[in-house]
Amino acid sequence: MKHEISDEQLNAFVDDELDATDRNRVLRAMAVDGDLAQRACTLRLVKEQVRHAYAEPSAAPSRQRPARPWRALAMALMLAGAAVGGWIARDQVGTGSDMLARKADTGHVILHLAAWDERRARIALDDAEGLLRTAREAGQPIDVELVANRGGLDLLRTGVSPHADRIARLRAEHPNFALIACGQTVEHLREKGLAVHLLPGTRVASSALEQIVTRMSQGWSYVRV
Amino acid sequence: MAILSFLFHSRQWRDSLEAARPALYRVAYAWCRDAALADDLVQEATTKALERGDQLRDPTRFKGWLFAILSRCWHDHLRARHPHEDIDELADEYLAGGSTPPEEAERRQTIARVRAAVARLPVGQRQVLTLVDLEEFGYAEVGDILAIPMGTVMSRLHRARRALREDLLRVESAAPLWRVK
Repeated sequence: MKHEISDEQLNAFVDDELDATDRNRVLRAMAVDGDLAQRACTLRLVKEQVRHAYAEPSAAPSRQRPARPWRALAMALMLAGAAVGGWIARDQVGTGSDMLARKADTGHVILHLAAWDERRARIALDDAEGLLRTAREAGQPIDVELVANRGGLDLLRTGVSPHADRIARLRAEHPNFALIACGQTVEHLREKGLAVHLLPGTRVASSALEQIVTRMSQGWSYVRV
Repeated sequence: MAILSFLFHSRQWRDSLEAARPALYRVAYAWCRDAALADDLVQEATTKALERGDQLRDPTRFKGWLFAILSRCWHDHLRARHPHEDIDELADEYLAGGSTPPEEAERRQTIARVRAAVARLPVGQRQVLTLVDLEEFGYAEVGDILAIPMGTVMSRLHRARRALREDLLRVESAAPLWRVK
């Protein structure tokens, strides 16, 4: 062959896998060899056909999956936490959580849920539980406040919240887990004629914003969910 | 602000897994051509990814690591069904001949024809082709994902595209939907 461009190289050219030197070599060869250019063009078309054939989902995943078990999530949280200080081996996870708790010795987190969204509500509770449990297991409990306003307030409303049982359990297990409702949102709902009953133990702050500002000024870590 | 990092990373991790699901599903479907099975494979792969997060040494390799898990899930599935065959050489013979309903729109026909042609490729070629074309993995990454040498990646890709070209062009000559020249 006059230019010694293999089929593999031509594919690599089409996939943009060649370095500049080899790429130039193929381009120069194509300039004088129409057949080579044609083969590259055909490969490109085949590639486009494949991409096009799977561009839109064929069938949406059909079944609803149950929520992931907390154990797996807790492990992911632990591991992700460990990632802060570098990745560690599984048999060192205990050490990792100790390290995490030492680093987390500011000891105060405010989680903020400002809109109703089933997934975010669940994440807020997952985060709260992950933090509380991990810190406690490490022997250094931390304070976590969940502040809800606007649509997010639904998480704390009796008869409305889909997670009332879980929240009650969390509160029972962790006295250092507090629920804060935004007073302005509560007022707003009542003005609209809605009865607002909050979950047991929920405290009403004058407003979510004020509570957050106060806590941040006291050195709390703020996390918007 | 270690707590913030903690939450940021945990959420990032979960979000990364969630965000990768459509891509995983698409490739799993291209591999097995079965929506329910593809769904199962993705679920299995993401669950394993959650359990084995500590095995990912380099976070920048997250995507390739995830597809490697998916590939192993699929190989396990095939291995259970074909205990004595070379997995990489398996192909969906039942699709040979193509049974596209004539009433389907042309575009649908083209898509179905390409998908059928992909499914007829041996597993090893099918995996390399879809990882390169659908997910735009580099050759080296595909080699890592499938645990094969780069030379094998390149030769499989060449054979896969040659087979597709012959397969698709043969049909095209009967009913040209796109032309090479």
